[in-house]
Order: sequence, then structure tokens, then C-alpha cells
Amino acid sequence: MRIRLEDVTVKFKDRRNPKNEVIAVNHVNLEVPESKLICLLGPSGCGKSTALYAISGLQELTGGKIYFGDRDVTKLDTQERKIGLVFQNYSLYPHMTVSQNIAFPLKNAKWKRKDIEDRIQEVARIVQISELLERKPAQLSGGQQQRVAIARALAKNPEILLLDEPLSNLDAKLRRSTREEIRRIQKTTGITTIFVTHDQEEAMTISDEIVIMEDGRFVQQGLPQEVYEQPANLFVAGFIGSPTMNFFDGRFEDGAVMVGNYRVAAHSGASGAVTVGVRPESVRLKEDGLRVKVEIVELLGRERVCRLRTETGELLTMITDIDTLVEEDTQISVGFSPGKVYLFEAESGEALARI
Amino acid sequence: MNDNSFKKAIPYLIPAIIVLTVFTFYPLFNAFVQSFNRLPNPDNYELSLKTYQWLFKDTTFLTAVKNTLVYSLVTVPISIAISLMIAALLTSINRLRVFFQTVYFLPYVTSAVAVAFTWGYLFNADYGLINQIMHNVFNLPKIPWLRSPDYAMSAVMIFGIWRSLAFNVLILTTGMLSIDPQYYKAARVDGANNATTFFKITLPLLAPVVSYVFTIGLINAFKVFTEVYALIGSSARVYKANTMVFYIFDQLWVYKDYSLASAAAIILLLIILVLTAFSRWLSAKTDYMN
Amino acid sequence: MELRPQKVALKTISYLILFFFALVTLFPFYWMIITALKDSNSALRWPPELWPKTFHWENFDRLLKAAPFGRYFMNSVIVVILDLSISMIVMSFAAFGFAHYNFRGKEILFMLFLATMMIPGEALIITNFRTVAKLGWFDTYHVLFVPYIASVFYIYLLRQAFESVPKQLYLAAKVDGCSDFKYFLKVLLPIARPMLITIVILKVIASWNSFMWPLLVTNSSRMRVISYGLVAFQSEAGNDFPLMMAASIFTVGPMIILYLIARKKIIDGIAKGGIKG
Ligand SMILES: Nc1ncnc2c1ncn2[C@@H]1O[C@H](COP(=O)(O)OP(=O)(O)OP(=O)(O)O)[C@@H](O)[C@H]1O
Ligand SMILES: [Mg+2]
Repeated sequence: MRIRLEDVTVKFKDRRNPKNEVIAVNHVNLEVPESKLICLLGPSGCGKSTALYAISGLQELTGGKIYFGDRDVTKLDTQERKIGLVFQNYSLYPHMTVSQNIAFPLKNAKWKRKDIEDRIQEVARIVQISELLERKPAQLSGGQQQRVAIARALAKNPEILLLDEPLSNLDAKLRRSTREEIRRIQKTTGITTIFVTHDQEEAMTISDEIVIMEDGRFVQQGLPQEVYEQPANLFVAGFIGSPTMNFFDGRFEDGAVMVGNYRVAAHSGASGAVTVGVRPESVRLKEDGLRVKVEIVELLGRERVCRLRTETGELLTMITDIDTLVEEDTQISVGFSPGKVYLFEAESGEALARI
Repeated sequence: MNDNSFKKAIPYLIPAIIVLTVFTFYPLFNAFVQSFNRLPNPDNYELSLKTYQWLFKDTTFLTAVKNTLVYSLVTVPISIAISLMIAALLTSINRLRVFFQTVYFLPYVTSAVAVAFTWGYLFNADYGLINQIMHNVFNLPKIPWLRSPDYAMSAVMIFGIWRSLAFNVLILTTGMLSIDPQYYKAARVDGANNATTFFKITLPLLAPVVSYVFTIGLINAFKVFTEVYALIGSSARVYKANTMVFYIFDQLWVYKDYSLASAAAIILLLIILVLTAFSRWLSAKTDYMN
Repeated sequence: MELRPQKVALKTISYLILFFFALVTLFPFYWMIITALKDSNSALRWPPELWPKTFHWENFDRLLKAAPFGRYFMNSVIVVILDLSISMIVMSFAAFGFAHYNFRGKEILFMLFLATMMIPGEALIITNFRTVAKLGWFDTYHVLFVPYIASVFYIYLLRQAFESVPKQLYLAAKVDGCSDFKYFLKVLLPIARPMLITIVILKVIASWNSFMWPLLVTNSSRMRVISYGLVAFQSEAGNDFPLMMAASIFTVGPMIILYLIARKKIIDGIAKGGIKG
């Protein structure tokens, strides 16, 4: 089922000061193609959950419209939207066994007993919890609870699956395996899925497309590679990638972009202040580049992560391969790989060019 | 959840609101109005301060107030003192603690009336165990406990203390057990002996609980009725064992004087409000944790 | 660890004192039961029998012939059951209304509810007595409990229990197709079950032992509950203490049994309400 948001807005009144409004979702538009998994990625408090709840029908809209396929569902109740939702902390019913949890939405939808039993077995098999059906949630590990929550969401054959930070309560290893699990389930069922997370690595690995959210707005939508390689603005550039992108105050001089005394690359057609961004892996040793002092060198697997400080006191990170020798407390000179330098308008943060 | 779901909430709230309005708010308001009604019949109104004047001249009421005060000021401190000792002993032992706790709390769950009759039998002038022992073992004269103005109130108070121990012991023991053992370890390291530990550590930390038990005890003591009615009976007035609630009951039941009953009830209400305010103040003052 | 003699002595004294007070607490109950099984004359004699030579079970037959205690007992049972079934609905509804919905003035209304806890019931009885008279409710079952079905303290405890359930569970229930009422019934109530059980037990005890109100609002002996029946029987029994004690056993017996079964629930419930205030 295709999902389309048109100019969707959700405002909250501030409890303490009713005149103040919190705009949790701010005039957003979105198009999710059939059978795709898209990630809603953004920092804590940017309105991801609210956007998801709006799509699920749990949250009334202040404005805008939501379509599932060609159907306008804006005014429909949650029950009528045929969605499955997995909550941030699973929200399993603690007094019910796993199978009762899964059966609950089906009973409410007045399924026949026989059908309910069959369906429980079926989804339990999909998420691999068949041997846990008679346990209570408290007797399950985090990952198992997670899978039960997904099973419950899938049980009534929803047309859309919504997941709100489903992995945030799991440890790193479990997170990785459950992530793959979710991807597998989504692929086998072909269900259109929106996956909310604040973990960019999660988003990069799991999704067909990523939507990046900042302060209630959708700032960029695209393939994982796209948002990484062509960030629409400073926020996206800084949010995506780990370690984060390095930023410098740059300026145009004689048809070239300058950072300090380092002439980054020739570029014309713009003037005034500019923010220069470069990813740590695009920083490399270069004679007559930017003069920096090496402060810390960390060996991470096959890479060296170096913390450098410019003469003007700015910090930057460089990642080199293990064969490049960089020693702490030495002066070196670095440059930026051509074609991997991002220019942003200093004022608005909008992306200008990649040089 | 949207902020204006009053319409959705009201069906759930309405039964309780109706019941409380009819049987709590309205009677409270009405008692207040009636207490200013000069006429005993509640259907005719003649508002004045006369009722209160009569009330404070009524020696029966004054005796009731005096008895209530004596009852409260005697039973509550004694009961709490005994309870503190029991609680301290209970927390110092491990074996049989649950057994003792179970036993001590028993009077709380059993009907005051029924138990009062057993006590009435024990207090019986001729056949009661107490007098029989006093007379036959110690050769003392038999005391008409429940049939004498000199002793009736004492009997009521003994019974009252016996009954109130249950609640006090439970709350104080629970309070003592919830004190972090860390403090006791620290005190031991600092070389405090048992008595010092009790008075310098346990009691100060327990102060909010003690003040709570004290207030609840006082409030209940001011409302004492069942103990009197079941032990002494409707002639409590004769034996100078009538209390404030007994007075209200008498005015209502025997004399059908609604305005006097209401005025006495309002006085009781005021006393309890003052005690509650006092309790708030006391617990704020004694709570070292916050 | 080696116990010093001083410590042993201290322990011994502690236990002696505790046993003494246990004896003081239990003795009236012991006396009640023992007396109920004595014959009428030996209950008056010195020296008293601490353990009757023969158990006079027929005292209970005599009691049931002398006064309709079976009827009183059943009345109490009926009243407790009616009281519970209605008050639990009223109270959990109210608690749900407060816990689940937000509306202007909610907290003020709740404060108003809570404030009633400070009012001594005795101040209200005066008017309530007349109200039920006007309603023509004398000598009915419902008059015995209706004024007390909205116990604010229990509403308060239930509201807390409901509010401790994460809000997301409600959203989950909505996604699963629950109405608000179904959520209340199928999710909140089962989760709050421990609290509900505690309240039910405490309410049973209060309802069974209530005394002053039944005394005021029932006249005919057919409608008497057990505590009133007991009081009414007193003058009839005179100095027949075994009969009187047998009647008392009818009154305290069920609560003692309930207490022995649900000791932990009762003690925890009272202690929790007590400590939190
Ligand atoms: N019911 C509400 N009333 C008022 N403000 C709210 C409400 N729900 C959310 N908000 C506000 O809306 C904004 C977005 O909240 P939301 O829960 O959608 O963020 P989020 O991106 O899901 O954050 P997280 O990653 O921490 O879950 C926040 O500023 C929050 O304080
Ligand atoms: Mg969220």
C-alpha cells in the first residue's frame, strides 16, 4: 500500500503555557512507494513519533491529508486504517501470554477462533517465536519481546507496518540481528513499512529510502547513499555519517574556496561566507595543505582515527588506513580529496555544491 | 489523549459524583446550615447562633467533649508508646516475626462490637474474669467497671488501647523495617549501643511515621463511638462515658434534635480539620528525607 | 558467632514481652471461643474453666433458636456482595475517568474528592439519615451500602494504579482495535488486579464490620445485619454469656478466616495506604 502525506501538520499546546504551541510536525509531504521500507531518521524530540502516530491515526492532524493508496484516510480511526504498529518499548500486555497478545487484535476484529489459532501459529513462525507462545512478556528477553510485538502488529494482516524505534532497547549485537530480522520479515511479507529511528547506521543499513527529519520538518528524502553523498543541508550533512563531517568557516577568494590559508579547490560563481564540509575519510595527508597538530590517534580495526587541531583552534577528524603513519604530538599538513568537499551557504545551511 | 475529553470522562465519573454529592457534599452543607437552625426540626428554618450557645451550655455536651479529650489524650500516647516498644522488639527479631505480626493485627479486622462484648464479659462486675481474679486472688473489692461513673471511661480506654495497638504496631513496624540498614551499620561502627541507636537513629528517622500514626490515632480517638456503645450501651451518659459522637448519636436518635446534632458535628469537623492541618505541619517538619 | 550471655538474656526478654502482648491480644478471642462452648452456669463460676471439660456445641443450636442469626448472617453476606459488586464498579469507573482523561478542572475536582476524606462520617450521618428516610429506603439492603459505595481513598489508590500503566499501552490497544471501555476492561483492570484484590478485601472487612449506620437505618429484625443483630441480642441474652459469645463468633469468625487466608494482602494494603497517607 502506497502512503502519501500532504502538508501534514501536528501542533500541541504547551501544557504550562497554553498560548505557546509546539509544532511537532510542520507541513510535511511524503511519498512512500508500495512494498518499500523507509526510515524516518532524526534526533530525539524532532517529531518522529508524532509523525508516525499521525500516520497510524492515533494522533489527530492539525492540518493536511493522509492517503493510503488512493484512499483519503485522514478522518479514519486507527482501527479502520489497517496498520500494524510496534512501539518504542514494545507495549505488550503484561497480563497476557504471548499468544493472547497476538490474538488480542484479532479478537477485537471478531475473527473466528479457528482462524485466530491458525494465524497465531503463522505469524509466530514468521518471527520465530513458536516455542514462546505460552509465556508472559516478563519471561521474555528484550529481543523476544520485540519479535512478539512485531508478531502482534503483523497478525491482522495490516497493509502498512509502522515501527517506532523498535530496536532502541536492545543491546548492540541483538540490535544488529533483529534489524536484519525485520528486514527479512518485511521482504517476505512485502508490507509497506515506515521505520522510525534516531540511529543513522540502522537507517542506512535497513531502508530502501531515508527521510531525514529536523525540528518537525522533513528536510531530505532519498536513497541511503544519496543522503550520505548529497546532503541537502548542513543538518543532514552533520547528522549522517560517523564520525561526523568536519566543518570549517570558508571563504571565496580569487575563484577558489579557502579554509585558512589552504586553497581547497577552484570554484567560482559564488561569493561571501561559506561553510566547508568534509568527511573524515576524505581528509588525507597533503603537503602545503592545512597545517594541523595531531592530538590523538586511535586505532579502530583497519583504520586510524586522528583528532587534529588547526592553527586557528578548530578540531577535525581524519580517518586514514592503517599503513599511513601519523604520530601524536606532531605537526602535519592535510588536504581534502577533490570531489568530496561540500559547500553550504553559511546563513541558511543549504547545500551549494560539491567540489 | 486530547485535552478536552470531559464528555468522554463524565460517564465514568458520574456515578461517583452523584453518590458523593448526595451522601457527602450535600450532608456536609446541610449539617452546616442545620447547625445554625434554632429549631430542632430540620424542615423549619430559623437561622441563628442560638444552637451553638445552647450546645456550649449543655453540660452533657461539655462532658462529652471532656471525655473525648481525656480518651484521646490518654489512649493515643499510651498506645503509641506500647506500639513503639513492640515494633522495636519485632524488628530486632527474625524468628516468629510474621507470627507476632499476624497476631497483633487481628483486632483490626474483627468487628469492634463483637470483641467489645467479650471485653464486656471480662469487665462484668460479678462474673467477669478481671473482677473474679481481683476478688478471689488478691482479695480486692469488685469494681463495677461498666456500671459506674468512676470506672466506665477507664474500661472504655483500656479497650480502646487494646484495639488501636493493631494499626499502630503494623504501621510502626513497617516504618522501622523500611529504614535503610545502612544507618544501623554506620551507628554500630560509630559505637552506638542499642538504646542510643533507637533514640538517636530509629526514632528521628521514624518521626514522619510516628507523627502520621499519632494524627490518625487522634482523629480516630475523637470519633470514638463504637467502643462506648458496645461496651457501656445506651446508658453511657449516666456513667459519664459519653463522647462527642455518642452525643451526636443521642441527639439524633433519642432527642431528634437535628440542629444540636449538627452543631456538635460541625465542632467535631473543625477539630478534625485542625488535627489534619497539624498533621501536615508535623509531617513536613519531621520528614528529614525530603 | 558466639552469643554473649547478655545478648541471650536480651533476646529472651524481647521474646517474653512479645509473647505477653500476643497473649493480651489473643486472650479475648480465646475467651470468646472457650466461653461459647461452656454451659451457661460454668461461665459464671469461680474458678473459671480455662478449658471446658465438655464442649457444649449445642450452644449454637440454642443461639439459632433464640435469635435468627442465620438470617443476620445471610443479610450481611448479601450486603457485602451487593456492596462490593456495585462499589467496585463505581470506584474503578471514577478512577479510570480521572486517570485516563484530561479536562479542565480535573485536578480541582479530584482535590474536592480527596477533601472528603477529612470529613468525619458522623457529621454526614445526620443528613443522610433523613435523606434515606425521604427516599423511603429504610429496611432495604441498598440503604446499608449505597452511601458508601464511592470510597474516595480507594478511588485514589486505583487512580494511582491505573496511572502507573504506561500510556503507550493504551495506544497499542487502540491500534489493536479497542474502544476506551474495552481498554479499561481488558487491559487496565487485569493489570491493576493486585490493587483491586486488596481493595476488595479491605472493603469486605469494612462492610462486614460496619455498625452505626445499620443501627440507624434498619428497624425490622428481618433486615438486620450481623453486627446489629448482635447488639440487639445482647439484652435478650442477659447473663447467658456462652450464647452471647457464640453469637460473637458468628460475627468475627468469617473475618478471622478471611484474614488468615489473605493476611499478606490485608497487611500490605493497610501498610501501603498508611505509610503513603
Ligand atoms: N502530547 C503532547 N503534548 C505536547 N507536546 C508534545 C506531545 N507529544 C509530543 N510533544 C512534543 O512534540 C515534539 C516531538 O515529540 P516526538 O515524541 O514526536 O519526538 P521523537 O522524535 O519521537 O523523539 P524521541 O526520539 O525522543 O522519541 C517534542 O518537542 C515533544 O515535546
Ligand atoms: Mg519517539
